[in-house]
Amino acid sequence: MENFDATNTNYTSDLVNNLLSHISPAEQDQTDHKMKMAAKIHAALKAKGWKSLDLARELHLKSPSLVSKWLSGTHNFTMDTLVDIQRVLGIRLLDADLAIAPPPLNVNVTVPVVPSSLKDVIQGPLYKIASQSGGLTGSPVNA
Amino acid sequence: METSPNLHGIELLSFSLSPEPFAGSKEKQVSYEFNVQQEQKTNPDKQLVVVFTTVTVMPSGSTLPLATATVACGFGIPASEGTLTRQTSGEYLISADIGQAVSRAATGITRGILYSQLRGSFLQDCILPLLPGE
Repeated sequence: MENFDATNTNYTSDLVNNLLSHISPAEQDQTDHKMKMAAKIHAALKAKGWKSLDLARELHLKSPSLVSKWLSGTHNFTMDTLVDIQRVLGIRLLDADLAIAPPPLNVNVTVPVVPSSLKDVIQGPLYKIASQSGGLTGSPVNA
Repeated sequence: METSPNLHGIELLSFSLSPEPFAGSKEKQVSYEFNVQQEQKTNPDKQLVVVFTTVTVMPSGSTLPLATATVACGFGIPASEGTLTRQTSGEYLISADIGQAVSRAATGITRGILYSQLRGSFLQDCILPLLPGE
């Protein structure tokens, strides 16, 4: 049997196109979210080094086959199930908080810095400038 | 061609801060006196004027210095005739408008540096006021 990379196959078919045209945007959105949710749970399991059995045990499920169904990307989760899963896995699957986190403020400022060469000037020859009337200094000022 | 002085560099040449004279007592000094001395020098070959500003902070009615800062500010000045003229005594004479401009700028810079140096000390509220003519 020949192996091929399905992701790189540019396959078109009238039959497939006809089937896809019957999927409404709302249905596509639901499917996308189910798949993403399953992928997120799978990634969290992998990060914790857990198997389906471990998650089933933590959630006191009778059988790990339910976890397999969740990971298939076709399961219609209930709110209670999602809350339980995110609690035991330590991830966020639902964003029900009202508070909106402010977007991070990134400011890049580039200021050209010219190295001060005043030390050389001070050490070099300097000639006194005669003081003139109207100068700022003189009698002490109070604060 | 330059038509006004441009800031070339700033150096804090010296700074000293005395211990708080009324530390430990309930009496607090609320009024201070500033003594500001300025001296202008030039390097005519480089068309530079360096303004040395020394500010001394004292308690009102006293000559005991609490803090002293000397700041040098270097300015490039326009290379036009009459900006700097050498006198027979060897001293230079700077045109009044440029001399006053660099003097005011140096005073403002020194005010900022003094404020920065005094932050966190017992003199942190002590800010050099605007000088007459500034």
